[in-house]
Amino acid sequence: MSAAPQVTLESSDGEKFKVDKEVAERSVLIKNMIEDVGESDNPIPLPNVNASVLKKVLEYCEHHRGDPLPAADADPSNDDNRKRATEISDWDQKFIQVDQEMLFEIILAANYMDIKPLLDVGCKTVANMIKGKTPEEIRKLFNIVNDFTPEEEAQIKKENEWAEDR
Amino acid sequence: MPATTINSLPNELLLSVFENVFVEEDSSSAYSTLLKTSRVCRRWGSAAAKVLLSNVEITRRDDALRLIHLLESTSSSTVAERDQPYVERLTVGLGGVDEPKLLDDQLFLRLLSLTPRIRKLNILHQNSLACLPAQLPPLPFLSDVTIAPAGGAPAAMAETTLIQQLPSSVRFLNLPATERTRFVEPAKASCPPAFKLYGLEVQDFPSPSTNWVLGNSAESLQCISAVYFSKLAAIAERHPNLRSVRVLGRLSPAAAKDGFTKFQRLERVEIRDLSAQPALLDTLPATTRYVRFWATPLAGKLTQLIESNKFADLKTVVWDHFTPAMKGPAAERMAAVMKQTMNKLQEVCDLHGVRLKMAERKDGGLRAGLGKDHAYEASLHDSCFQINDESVPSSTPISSLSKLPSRVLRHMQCDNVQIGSHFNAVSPFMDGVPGKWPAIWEDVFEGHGSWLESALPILKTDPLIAARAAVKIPGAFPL
Repeated sequence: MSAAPQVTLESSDGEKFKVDKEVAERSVLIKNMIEDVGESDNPIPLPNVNASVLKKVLEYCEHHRGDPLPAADADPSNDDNRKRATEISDWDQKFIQVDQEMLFEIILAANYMDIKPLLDVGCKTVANMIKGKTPEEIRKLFNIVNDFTPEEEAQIKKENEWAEDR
Repeated sequence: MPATTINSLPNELLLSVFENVFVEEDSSSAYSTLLKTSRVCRRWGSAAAKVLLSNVEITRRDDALRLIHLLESTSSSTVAERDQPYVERLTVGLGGVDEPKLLDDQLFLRLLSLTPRIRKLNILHQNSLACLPAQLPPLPFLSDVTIAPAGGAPAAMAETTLIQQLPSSVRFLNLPATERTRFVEPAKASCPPAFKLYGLEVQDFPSPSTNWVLGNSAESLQCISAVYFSKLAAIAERHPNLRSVRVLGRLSPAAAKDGFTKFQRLERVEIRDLSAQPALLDTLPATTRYVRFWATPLAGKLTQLIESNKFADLKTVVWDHFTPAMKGPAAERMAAVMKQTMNKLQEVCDLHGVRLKMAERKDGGLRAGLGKDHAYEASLHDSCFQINDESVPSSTPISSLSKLPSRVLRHMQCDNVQIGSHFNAVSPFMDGVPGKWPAIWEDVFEGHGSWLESALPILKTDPLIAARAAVKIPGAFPL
């Protein structure tokens, strides 16, 4: 039995990762690159992803290697799919329990490498962090400076009045 | 190099984060969360406003007027200055003259004229002819429409007029009301709506009104969801490109007999029918890629079919199982049977590269059957016995319900009534014929609720049920 075909990925800091092609192709970016240039021994450069983040992303791809691609089992008539697509499994929840810097690095890498399920997990995790918090608590959590003038803040509040009192 | 923070995310990703707030929570919680995020900083304010505006849910007249004012004045709005937001999904509650706090047809039309880019429209109406507009403004991007009477009432006649006004861009239509009054006037019958649907969700399928709705969609229809299906074979012949069928309630005996044999392109099937027989899975075509089901007996059959390589393309199986909150030897035996079935299915799925997802149902499920001249449905929610959707005070003796006409019984629900102590009284729903009891029998053995233990003494008094029990779960109900 022949071994599964492999590809080499090179992170922004020059580290090389040899992985099964099936695992690497969870990334639509890499899948398209392989299709465009054909299979070769040259490493595929990923200049926007450093080694520590790429290692983590590949851990995700390895775990989900057999999963159907997002569109494969989506019924477009079913709006619940929008919700289901963002359900985080237990494994994904543990996987994404990282510090904030790594969390946002993973989101940026998933976006760059076009790995939609991983991007969904990351965005959903941040959304969960926001839920139930006051504006001040959110600022403190993410170290955000309030740059509103009092007038602008009043204006935003007024514009969103239609959504209040629910 | 500066640390990566949430500020490193480009606007499109910040929007994705906020969209996820909306997807995950119910709309009131999502609004609350997004209103708070909108006050964090300028950038968040702009992104949150955009997401809020793209998901508008309006039922109160006052809120509609505020939104209309905002939309009319966007040229001077701080929101508009940053990145032109627009309404993408619109949900409205329409009332008419009887419900002055809700939107009337005129206000709804005014709102629609300011939201020309909506893609999705949900209309909840009070079943009054006056509240539904007879004509819609141009909505060239509209693709997904739901029209539903409030409170689970039957459809209004005016719905057909509204459906006829929908633009040709509509691809998915959801009509959740029962079909009894959504009839098509003879003058309209030969003039179907302009759209060609990809997906339709209804209560009963097919029916005269769904036939009319699908007048131009015979070839285009790919996905159909219905609570009550009949004539599956005829559906397959009329819509040869169907690739997704969702059975949300039950199959009629005729439909169950037909099965899916004639669905040559079926890829995805969902069966939320606890009475579905394992043989139904034999009728699935080899093209099946996704199977979702509720009933435990289907799991065993599916295991066999996967083992025999019936489905070369099967990728995903989802089992919505139910774990009863009950104790005792019968429960333990049932749990053991369930676990054994799950393990075997998992093992076979792993071997054949099929992803198995176990999803837990929140209620005991839906069980349905046919009486002599009417249909009835019984379901169990959190150990409470229910008949269809409408509430009856918990003080209502269940035995008195049997005196009501069967048509009324279809729309009743008994909250907080333990089925165990009322099992005998339930029998009138089965047309008073003990032999009909097995019709609800599968539910009992799905293990739904703590009432089972208390129901045992009653169940055992009926030899028919006891016999079924002995076969279904050996040892659980010794004769």
